[in-house]
Amino acid sequence: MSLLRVQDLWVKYHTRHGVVEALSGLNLSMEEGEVLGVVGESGSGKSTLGFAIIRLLPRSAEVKGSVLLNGKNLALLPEEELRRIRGREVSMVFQDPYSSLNPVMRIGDHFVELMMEHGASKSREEALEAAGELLERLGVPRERLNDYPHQLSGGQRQRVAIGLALILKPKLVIADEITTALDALVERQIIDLVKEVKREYKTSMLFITHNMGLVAEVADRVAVLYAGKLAEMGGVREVVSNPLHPYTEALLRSVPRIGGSKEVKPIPGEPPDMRNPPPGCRFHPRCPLATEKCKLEEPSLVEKGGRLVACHLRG
Amino acid sequence: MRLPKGFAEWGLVLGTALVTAFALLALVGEFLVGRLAVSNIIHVDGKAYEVPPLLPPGSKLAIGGREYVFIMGTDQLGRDVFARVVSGARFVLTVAFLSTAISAVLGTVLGLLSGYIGGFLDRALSLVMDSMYAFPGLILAIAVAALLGVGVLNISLAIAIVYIPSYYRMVRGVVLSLKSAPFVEAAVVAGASSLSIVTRHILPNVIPQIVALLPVSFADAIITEAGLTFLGLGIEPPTPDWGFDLNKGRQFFLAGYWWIGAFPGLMIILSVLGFLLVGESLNELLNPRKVEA
Repeated sequence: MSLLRVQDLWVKYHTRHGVVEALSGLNLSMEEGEVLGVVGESGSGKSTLGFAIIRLLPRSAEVKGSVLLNGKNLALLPEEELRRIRGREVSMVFQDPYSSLNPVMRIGDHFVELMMEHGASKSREEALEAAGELLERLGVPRERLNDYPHQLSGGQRQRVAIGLALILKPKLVIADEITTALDALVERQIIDLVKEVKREYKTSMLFITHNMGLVAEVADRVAVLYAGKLAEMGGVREVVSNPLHPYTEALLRSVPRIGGSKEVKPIPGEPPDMRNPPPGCRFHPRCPLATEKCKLEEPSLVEKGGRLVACHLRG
Repeated sequence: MRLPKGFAEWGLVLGTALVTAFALLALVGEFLVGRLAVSNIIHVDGKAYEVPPLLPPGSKLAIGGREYVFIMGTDQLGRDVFARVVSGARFVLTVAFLSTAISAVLGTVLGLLSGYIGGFLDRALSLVMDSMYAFPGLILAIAVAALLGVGVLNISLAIAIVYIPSYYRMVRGVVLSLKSAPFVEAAVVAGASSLSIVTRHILPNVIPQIVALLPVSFADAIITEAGLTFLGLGIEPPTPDWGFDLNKGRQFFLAGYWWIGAFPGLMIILSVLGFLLVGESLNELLNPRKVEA
């Protein structure tokens, strides 16, 4: 049985300006110990996917479909049961480490509160001991437990946030653009840390990012999202070396590389307006290969060489 | 030690001095002046002497071989105005303290509930609070005070009701913006219970704003208390009280006996000024953006 199985997930935001379809019938699954990269531009629905799994969407969001974690449908779980699962079986690391820690709480108290709330430790001392041990393995000195968040650097705060996500040993960690708010050097350190965590803790991770390069580095498999739909999904090596979908190809070409021979090419046009997604293949207005068929008929997801791809031309 | 700089620092020094002085008056003033505040009879060596009414400030009176000075004169009943002014601090400050505490606690709790739970409760509470806010404060307090009758607790409640909406609106607003703060969402996805989210993550971040509002609403409460007792509500004579004495003094003012009302009025002004100075200058000093500007 898969660890995580997302089945026919639809998310619609009801806004004043109309209904925005953020995810349109998404299917994907993850195995235990696997890191699944989720890539896409802004508005592709990648963050919505993370929030939908852990049920943190605003009330204006309409969700259909099921999210099975170890066979339990999170989408239907009553609030109290969901609360016990959050943090303990599935946890999340956020994009901005500068605002994801409570400014008036010491680092140690973040851990104490989390562990006591879930009954994972009997006393404050026990919780602090465990927290200190984990933080040291994540490269944060134990003394930092007594500090307030503002006394830590951005990189250290993100390490603390990762520690908070790992301390209860959840089966799945959702990492939502965890390096986007950090500078390049710290980003590197955090990515190295993620790789180490993957090796040591065997935690499954949903690694959400817009950076194809990072996915290539940390993920086992990759899911490319475009306009709320899967464009392509498969082993990270195959997808990066031989992309099938023209959008994946364009994404890969838009990443600059030092010493790279290929020219960096931005993707022409803009992501579609999701109040009114284009008919046919949602990528056709920006696709260099689009044909008449692409404009009219929506491509379905087909398997090709162990991968899934939604394209009339490459399927 | 360096000298204070600028308006805010001087304001804080002056305000703190005034507040401390009034706090001391409220604590010990009544013991210093004794029965003089409520009676015009002075007992010397077992004999009672009656003090004449309407003596001007600075009058000296020899009673039983001793000289008494009435630096603020005597009122229409021969009671020492200075004694009444000094011991009047206790009633007004007690009421202001109680009413501020009640309104801060109730307003904060309701604001937290309303902002965090939202939905129907929020709409209903906001409607009630907004209609209270729209009502002129003193009139609302008069209505409630007339309903509840005399006594420290009753007049405190009457004033507290007027100021609950200020705390409610402020707290609710902060909660609404904190509710979607990343660290609150992080606590939610970490499985924190609603109680712990409200008490451990949201409330500690609202407290600085509540503290900033406290001195200002304390000053407001003094004015409202003076307003109520000016109208004779909530207090039983002969309890010394500035607002009550101000009204009595008003009746004698045009006849030339200005001191009966002027000194209690001055005390109201100074005490309100003290708390306002503390509140405003603290706001200015603790808010880095305001310091730069």
